[in-house]
Amino acid sequence: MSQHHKHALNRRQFLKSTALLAGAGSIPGLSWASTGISGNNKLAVIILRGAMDGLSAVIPYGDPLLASYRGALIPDDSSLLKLDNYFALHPAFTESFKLQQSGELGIVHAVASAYRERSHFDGQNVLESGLDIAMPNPSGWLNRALQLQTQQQAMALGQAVPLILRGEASVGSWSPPTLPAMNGDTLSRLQKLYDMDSFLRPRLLEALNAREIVGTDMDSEASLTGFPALVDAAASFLNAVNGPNIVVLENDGWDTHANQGTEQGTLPRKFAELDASLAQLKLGLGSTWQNTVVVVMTEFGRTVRVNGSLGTDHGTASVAFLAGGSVSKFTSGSAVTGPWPGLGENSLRDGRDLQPTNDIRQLLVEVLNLHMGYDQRTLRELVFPGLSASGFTRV
Amino acid sequence: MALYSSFIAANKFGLGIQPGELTEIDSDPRGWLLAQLPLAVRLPPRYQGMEPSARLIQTAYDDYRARQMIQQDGRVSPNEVQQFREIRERNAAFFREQANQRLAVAIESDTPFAERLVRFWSNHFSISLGTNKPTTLYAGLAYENEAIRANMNGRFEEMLISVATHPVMLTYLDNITSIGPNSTAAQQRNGLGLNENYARETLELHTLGVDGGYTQDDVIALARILTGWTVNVPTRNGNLPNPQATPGSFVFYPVLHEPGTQQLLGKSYFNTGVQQGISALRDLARHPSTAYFIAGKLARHFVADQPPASAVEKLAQVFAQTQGDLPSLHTALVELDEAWDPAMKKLKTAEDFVVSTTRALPGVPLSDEVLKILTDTLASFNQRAFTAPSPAGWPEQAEHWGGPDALLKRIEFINMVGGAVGPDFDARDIAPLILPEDADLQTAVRRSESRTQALTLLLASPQFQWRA
Repeated sequence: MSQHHKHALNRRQFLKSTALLAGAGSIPGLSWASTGISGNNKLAVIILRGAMDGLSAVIPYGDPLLASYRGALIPDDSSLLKLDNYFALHPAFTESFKLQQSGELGIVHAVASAYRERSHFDGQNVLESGLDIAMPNPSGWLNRALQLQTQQQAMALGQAVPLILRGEASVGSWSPPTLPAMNGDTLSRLQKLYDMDSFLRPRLLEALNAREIVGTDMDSEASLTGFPALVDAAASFLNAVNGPNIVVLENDGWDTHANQGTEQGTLPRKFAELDASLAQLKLGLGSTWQNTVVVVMTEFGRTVRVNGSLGTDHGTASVAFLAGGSVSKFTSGSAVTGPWPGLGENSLRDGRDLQPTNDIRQLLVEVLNLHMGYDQRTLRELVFPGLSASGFTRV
Repeated sequence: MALYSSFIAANKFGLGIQPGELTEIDSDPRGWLLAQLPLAVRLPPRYQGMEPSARLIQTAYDDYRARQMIQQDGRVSPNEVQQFREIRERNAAFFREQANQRLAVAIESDTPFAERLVRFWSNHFSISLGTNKPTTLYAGLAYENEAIRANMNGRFEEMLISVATHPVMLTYLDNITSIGPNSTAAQQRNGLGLNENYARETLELHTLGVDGGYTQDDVIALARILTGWTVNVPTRNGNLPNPQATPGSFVFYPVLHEPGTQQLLGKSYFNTGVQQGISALRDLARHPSTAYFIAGKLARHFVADQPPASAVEKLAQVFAQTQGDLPSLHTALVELDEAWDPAMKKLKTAEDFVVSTTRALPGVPLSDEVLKILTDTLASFNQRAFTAPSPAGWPEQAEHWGGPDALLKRIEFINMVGGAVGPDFDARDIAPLILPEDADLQTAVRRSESRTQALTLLLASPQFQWRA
């Protein structure tokens, strides 16, 4: 816990006075100086909870087998946003398609964490811990990365801090204020009481700092609610001079067991929401978009076959997206990056799921390495310790 | 030997102490808890006269159909606009009323340990009412009373079966759309098949636990076994699955049921219709993994986020020895020395926090207006009744509930409460009646500049954030 305090204090001072910047980076690990990469780079992680149906998001429409597995779930051919002669984006991804056309969207298909069972909760646990198996209370991979470079500051958008950001390094959280602010004297008296609670004290400090940063900027956006409000806040935070350079957003409602829809319906509505949020983020970030990478990921995919309720059950591999002004550095030139397992009966995992051929951790290593200034070895040793041993094909 | 503290009894086992309760509990904290157990099945006065779920589901179904009919013909008459509006208002009113009443019951409860236990089990068998499953929108509270509360004096397997035969659960986890691939229905119409959702969650979340030793094949076997477990609302052809049974109630519909013997966890279950599922559920309830899974959850809720293994072990033994007798299990919980250890504490959930705050302020009338403010507050804390984010229910971990932003929102809520009722209370008198002695807190309260500030400091204090 004492470690936790120290981080919280560093962060508070850091936010209050740029003069203290010089003191940061003293923790073992890398500093910006040794990598030669600009410290202005930003990272946004969007976690889609409930397991997104990757085969509906990025549709292998050119595969003759697809219709036999899930004909009822394939949108009309004329509506597809075709990426090449095999893959197409779902028609709801109109904005993402524009991004893709201008080299600002990368797509990795058949991607999965190390998790191979079909529980949402364990799946999310593994996705966010970056470990090989689900553990009772692991730290998050992003928090471990924060511990290695103290100049990186992260903010969870939402009241709770998700597992991906939990751990020794102190992080902030923010969601739209709903109640009147309190008077400064009462608050300072309360803070004295919180000094004696080792769990709650650093959290209160983080919250007060977050309010300080966005206080004025956010007031004008008070009319936004739900996910768009969080996306808007993400842009404000990443644009703020002394703000965090990493944000995490969560979006749930992807567990489409029944009536998931083709062109219209539950899943297309979720796609449209995600699509709009990427456009909103680009707009809100302005020139910052050029040095931002947005990672969109989910805990696992869904069955290749449609189930008895015009939905899909829990599967294995899904899709991950990278968005941002300079994501072309991660992509191979083809629209969909990484090896593709195919849909042949023998290629399916357990005869039912899309076989994972890409490890999400490999993708994250490349983002943290090329974009955030971490070296590959440190990432493999401390952030994703199980990665080297994994039998995945490299992205 | 544990030191039985009244504050631990009321604040950790219960829903938060009411200032007047201290004398009563002080004489025998342990006995105060145990005496509540037989009363757990009692329907709180506020719920008496509520309609049964079958009736509510029928109303919800009729509303749902009416809305569909209005939308179908393309033209909307002024009459239909009015009808549409009435339905929407009824929707909102049912949703609000369930949240309001459930909150009021917790605030008023004179058996708060029993009520917490009901909510623990309700959260174990969590449901979420969303507009994508409109036919159960009105029946969340009825589910809690019928499937959970009514079984509090029985064995775990009876609760499990009540849940599995409750329309709200079968709808929530999609079992009503799961159809045997070789059933009569599937032979008549293409494209029908299994939906694994409920079977998986029964194994993972309700009985064995994710590491309880089952495979994907077991999920499929249980899904097949449970095909035909559905709700008596009209099918596509407009007829009820079982015209003799109450509309809106559970029915076993053989037309959907997968024929044949199923292998579940190495045991054969012959096709005996609904009995096939009952037998499978009983076996799951008696499985050793279930005893440990339930014991772990109970200890996590009542002892600590990371409970000592000794506590889990004791509860698992009692569960196994008594075939899951719930009163025995709940008694064992009270007898755990670990639960009375002051070092073991739990951060309040948002609901715990709002409920315990209101319990600490007797005399605040639970008018519709006050209840609305409190349920809106809970909604802003992301813990509205029956809206858990996943079938796993509300999380237990302090890290979930104590995020920086959530903490600040709690403080702001108390700031609002202090502003509203501060002048009516003297926090100096209340402090020793709701929290163990704490010199710093008492000093802060005593030195406050106003009654409002004193009450705000007391209820927003770190001490009041914990169940301890």
